[in-house]
Amino acid sequence: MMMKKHILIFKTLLFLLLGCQAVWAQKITVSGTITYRATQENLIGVTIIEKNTPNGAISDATGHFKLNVASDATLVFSYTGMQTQEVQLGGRTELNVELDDNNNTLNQVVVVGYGTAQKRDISGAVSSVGVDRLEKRNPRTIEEAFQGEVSGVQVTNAGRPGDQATVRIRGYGTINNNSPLILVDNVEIGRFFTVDPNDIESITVLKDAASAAIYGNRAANGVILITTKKGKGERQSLSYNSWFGWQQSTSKIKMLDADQYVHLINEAVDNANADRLASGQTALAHIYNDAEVAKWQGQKGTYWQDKLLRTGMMQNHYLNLSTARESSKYGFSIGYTKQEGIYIGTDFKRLYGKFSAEHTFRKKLKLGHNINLSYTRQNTGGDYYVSRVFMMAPTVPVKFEDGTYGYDVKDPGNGDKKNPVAMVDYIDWVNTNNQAYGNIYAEYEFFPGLTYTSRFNFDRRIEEKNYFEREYQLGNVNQTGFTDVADFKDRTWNTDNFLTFKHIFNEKHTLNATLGTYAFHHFNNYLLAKGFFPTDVTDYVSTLDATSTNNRQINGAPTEYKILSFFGRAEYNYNSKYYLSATIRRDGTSRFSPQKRWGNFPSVGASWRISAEPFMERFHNLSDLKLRSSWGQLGNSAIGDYDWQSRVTFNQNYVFGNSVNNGAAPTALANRNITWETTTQTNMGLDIGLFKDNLTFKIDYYRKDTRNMLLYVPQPGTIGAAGSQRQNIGKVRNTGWEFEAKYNKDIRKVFLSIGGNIAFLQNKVLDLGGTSFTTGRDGYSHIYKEGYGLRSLWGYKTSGIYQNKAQIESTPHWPNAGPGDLIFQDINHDGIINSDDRTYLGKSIPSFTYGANVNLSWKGLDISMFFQGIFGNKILYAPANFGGPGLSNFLYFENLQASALNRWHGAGTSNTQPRLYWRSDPGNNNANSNFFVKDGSYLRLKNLQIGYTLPKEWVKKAGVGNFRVYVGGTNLWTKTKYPGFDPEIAMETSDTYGWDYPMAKTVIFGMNLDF
Amino acid sequence: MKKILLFLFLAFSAVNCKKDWLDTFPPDGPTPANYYSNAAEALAGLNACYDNLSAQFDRLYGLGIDAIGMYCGDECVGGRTSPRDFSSFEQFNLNGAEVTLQNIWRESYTGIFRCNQLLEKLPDVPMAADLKARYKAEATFLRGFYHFELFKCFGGIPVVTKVLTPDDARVARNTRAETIAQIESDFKSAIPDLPQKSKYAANDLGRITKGAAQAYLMKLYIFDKRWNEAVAVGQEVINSNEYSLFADYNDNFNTAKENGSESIFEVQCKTGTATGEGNAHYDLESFENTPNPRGYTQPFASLRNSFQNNAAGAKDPRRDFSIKVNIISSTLLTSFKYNRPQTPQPAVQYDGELNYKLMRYADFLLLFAEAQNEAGNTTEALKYLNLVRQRANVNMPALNNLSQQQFRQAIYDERKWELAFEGHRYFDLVRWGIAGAVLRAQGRNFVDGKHELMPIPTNEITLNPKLAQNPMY
Repeated sequence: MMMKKHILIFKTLLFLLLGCQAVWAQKITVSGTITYRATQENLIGVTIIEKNTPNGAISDATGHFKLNVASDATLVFSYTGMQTQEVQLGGRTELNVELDDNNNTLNQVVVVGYGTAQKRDISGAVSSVGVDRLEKRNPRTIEEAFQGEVSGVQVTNAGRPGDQATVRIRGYGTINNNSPLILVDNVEIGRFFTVDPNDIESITVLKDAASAAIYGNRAANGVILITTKKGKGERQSLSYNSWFGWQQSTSKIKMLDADQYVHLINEAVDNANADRLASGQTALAHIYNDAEVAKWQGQKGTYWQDKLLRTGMMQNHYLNLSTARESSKYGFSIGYTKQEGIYIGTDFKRLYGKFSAEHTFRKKLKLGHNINLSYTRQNTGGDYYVSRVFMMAPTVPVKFEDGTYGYDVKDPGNGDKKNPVAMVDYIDWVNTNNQAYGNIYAEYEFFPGLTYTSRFNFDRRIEEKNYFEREYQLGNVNQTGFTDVADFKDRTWNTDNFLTFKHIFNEKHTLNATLGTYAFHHFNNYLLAKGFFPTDVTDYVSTLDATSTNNRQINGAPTEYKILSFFGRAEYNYNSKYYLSATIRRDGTSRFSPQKRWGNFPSVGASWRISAEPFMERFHNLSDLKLRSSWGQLGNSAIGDYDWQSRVTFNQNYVFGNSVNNGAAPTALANRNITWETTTQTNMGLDIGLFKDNLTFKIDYYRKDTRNMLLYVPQPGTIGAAGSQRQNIGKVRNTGWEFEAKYNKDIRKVFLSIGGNIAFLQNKVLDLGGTSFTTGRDGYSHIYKEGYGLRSLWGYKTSGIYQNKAQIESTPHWPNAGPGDLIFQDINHDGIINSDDRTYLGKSIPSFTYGANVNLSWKGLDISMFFQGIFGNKILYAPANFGGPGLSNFLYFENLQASALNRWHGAGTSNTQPRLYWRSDPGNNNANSNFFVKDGSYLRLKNLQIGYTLPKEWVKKAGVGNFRVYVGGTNLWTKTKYPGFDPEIAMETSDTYGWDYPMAKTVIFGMNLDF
Repeated sequence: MKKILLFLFLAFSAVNCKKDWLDTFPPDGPTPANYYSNAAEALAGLNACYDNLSAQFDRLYGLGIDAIGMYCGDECVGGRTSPRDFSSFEQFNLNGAEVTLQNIWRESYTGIFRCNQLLEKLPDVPMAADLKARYKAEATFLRGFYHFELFKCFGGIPVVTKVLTPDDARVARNTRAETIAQIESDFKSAIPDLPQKSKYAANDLGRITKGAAQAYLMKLYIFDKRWNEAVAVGQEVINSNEYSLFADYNDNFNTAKENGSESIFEVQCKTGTATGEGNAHYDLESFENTPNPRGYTQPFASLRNSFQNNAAGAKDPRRDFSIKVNIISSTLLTSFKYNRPQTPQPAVQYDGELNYKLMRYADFLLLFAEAQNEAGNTTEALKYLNLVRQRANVNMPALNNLSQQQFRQAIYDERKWELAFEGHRYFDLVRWGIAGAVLRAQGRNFVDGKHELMPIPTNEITLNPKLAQNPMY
């Protein structure tokens, strides 16, 4: 406050000084109001200068200014913490100006849990992304909006339009659900693709315990608060954003062509025959006989990626209207998105609308609502089996000459390798999501400083799956037509009721207190039905009623989940110099037994603005220096709704007398003693602002310990029932450093802004109750083990390739290994190769993640570039369980990646790529080993945008306030060593081991139009 | 301030109206504490004990024990990777990581758990005493039966006769003798209260019968080489007159003749049910006339060539009743029992209609004959062997005047011809002590002293370090 006063005095002096000189500058008088765009508050003390003259003025207490200037003058508006704005007057006598936040200003108001705070006063680890950054990124999803923007937040996008990205804050705290709590206008909507990202006003990430503690029970993985655009200001505004563009796969994978393929598959048979003959068996015939080999000579065959991957068109329209009348504000947003995926048959459509209103009654009572409506429709693209892109042999045509769909004549009965183009044709799979969510709220101010808020938030969602597969024959595969329809219905309501008290005592003591309750109720039900058609039907009669009754299948089960919480928070600061805060939240959940369901989650924080101390005054360039620290505990109960309760499950049926008889048995091992998984986080941070905050740094160190993880602990089979039981066990530690830096500079009309962030992360399982367990490919490719990072890669170590028999005999080896097979290392030196030789092969969590953005603007032109990357993680690239591209035994007559050309085929031919072998794997080459482990690091130009704002006077005649056009692109450039489609693969869900939907690079053209 | 308190009170009371507001209960099932409260619930509990006898894919008889019986024997191999690669079993290149072994272990112990659960609850269920006695007998037999199936694969295993908890589930293996003793005791205690097959109502067909329990007790004795006891209990089955051979061998694989006179115990299968009660073997035998047909279970030519001529001078008809030859390539063979022209085609994979045969009377008669022979009654034994050989549409010549040793060879062959692909072969070869010689002659890596038993699933040893691995694994 003191600082602001000083500024005001200074500026008033300046006004007097400049005002004197303005006497001789005559011409016209211009007047108007200056407001802060985000809050529409009038700004006092803004400096207005006629460009290239000493003439100027300062806005008064109501934000008004008046100035005599030349009629063609350019006025420069500047204000500490705001972006400097230049306006060409063009003869106008009235000029209203809105100023935007300077990105790094500490006065910026940030949405935090149950309230807002000025950035300068935040003592926890909180990062935010504002609307200004979002406009430059043009995100297609909410998750993309903050990917790389905030240190310590890792976003892994899904490639298929309409699929969810994975979001992780400060690493992986648990083996359970690591998803942060993401609230859109206080509602946990679950499906982020339902929101039009254009409608986002701000994003705040609460990383440490002290900031997130007020959300208690679900905040252990961090909290992301998203607010959407609402009605604001004193005047009407209308803006329209639109873009169109296209997307393509970021990469394509080189595969064998038909000529190479027929030779290699025959070579595999030759290799197998050598062993068969040696053991007295008969030799197998070549798959492609000599005539066929000759026929494919020099032929490329079908390159399936070209048949399945395409350029997808995209468009987006978004309209926002904000209007205010006396004591009421209204907001209206509507958005439409259509995206074709890059895999044929995939697309995504979204219709989004939001209606908000807020009314103030006698300055005491505020009533308001936000209602969001969303409809999305996703076409999945056949049965969505991306792996077929690799599997299909190049000798198979998309269609035969007679016009019927192609199949592999060498393997006509293979139902696992159906022609994917045919599948897109034969299968119609549409998912729709219908969602209405929002809130109704009331705020009552008893007296200035004490407010009571009551919010009722709701979310109603119906997700429909419509799957229709028609009858067809492909080769010898006969498919009966069937339909599979499902409705997933979610009903959630929650209510927040809280009192906030804010008071400044004796000008220096600021106290903020919040006290409230929270209740949450989630109800979910699904209805799933499946039936087979007696005869071939067309899509017109693809209804369930047309299916035959004797194969029909109907399933459904409701579930329910409740939370009840009480919370309180007190924050105190002395003169914006010393800060103290404390939060306590008490949560109860229906997911634990009555004796174990309540948990208390406390947190405390303290910070010290060193720069406000008198002894720091001599460091003029140091505008801000603040030391932050916090400690807190948070809970996690992201498990099944009924895990603590034992139950008898029906449908354990058996047939007697040729009719089904009901059976019932307990199938799960309940545990009444399970309770909260608890995360304790300590955070130390330092904020530095230099040169009037034009250069800022933010440094954080944290240690996050998760205890009592709610693990499914596998139980011996002898127990019967289910294989595992939920238990509170173990401890995982995440420690990390986070750095954020921003720099703004105005160099002769060129405004430069550079920002960067990097987050180092160390993840380690400290305790797992002495056990360890593996998951993934063949059940052991990833391990959870004390002393290692979560889901570390696990398997055998190999070192090159056996070149001859003598070499095999001289070392421990698999019993049937032959020359050309991988050399497995005898890790435990017991003379044999077996499962005891499996070892650590690398971590799947990156050592650090980083992002950097560069923004340049000059006159109407602006350029924004955004880089993002991760480093140090390993990915298991072993497409499909039986081998896949690059390493295969042709069990599916599948094609191979072009790297197979480097295979071993005689002593000295290769020391990296093992031999081919027809339908068997005598050397265990397909066992999980470092052969399949690839570096997952990447750096990519995530976003590039070049925009041009048309001069105001040009567009004014059309009644337009602001008109900007731009061209942008995402994923335009990627640097990686990863050999698959794209290294941006979700860590926990990549069970396809490299057969994911490819990522897209997009190019778009767009415009922003403001009236 | 009053107003504030009122507001807060309202807010709190809105969510706190009931003290137990946070209580939610699973909607899809009661808890074990209050279930099993009447006869109907006891029956549902009993039916669930049978549920683990399933021939669905990856269950006990859908490439579970059946696959070991077939593919580790000398009759056939599992042809393709899909649905599962059995080459490591064929080649005896296997270890405890095999999913199939894990499935067998888990499925059997789940069945045992369900039996124990019911047996613990049954005494308190208010219901008619005779019905309760039957339910108890059925569950007791099944508990013994699941133990027996595990014993066949793994040897001595942990014997579980009560509901275990995570605290006491880590138990060591019992010895072979202890395991057999438990199975014997379960079978024996079940027999008195089980009705004969003819006493069951039509809608109860498929339940375990007194005759079936006695037949399995005989089989257990044979595995334990207690020949006289085997003969004694086997004789009771024969004397019951409940069973006879079908005149037509093919009736054993005819959906219209399920649970017929030759049936002793079979997995009850049904296609097109919501809960999946079908027989996966239908799809293992599918066969197309193409250069690369996908018959999964592929018999060795040596098996096909081993069939002899019958009394009419024609090839033993069981050859073509059991093995189908590809039209294009006569070297390509597939098994031919559960996927025959008259078998209805299921709408989804692995969902065949035909019941999976666990024991039919022909199997029983050959076992009985073997026991008679080993007990020294070779002449008596020949009677039963010839009964099987001289089935009306098989019509093989009767064998006579065989020595005890010659008779053994005759049994080795007859079981191969009569019961091909029915999941017995490997267990028979091991039981006879000839597995090594027979299989090595086929170029298989059978190691004596090792491959008579399957390895204990590695995962189970990890979870329960008290479990000792079988020798040499």
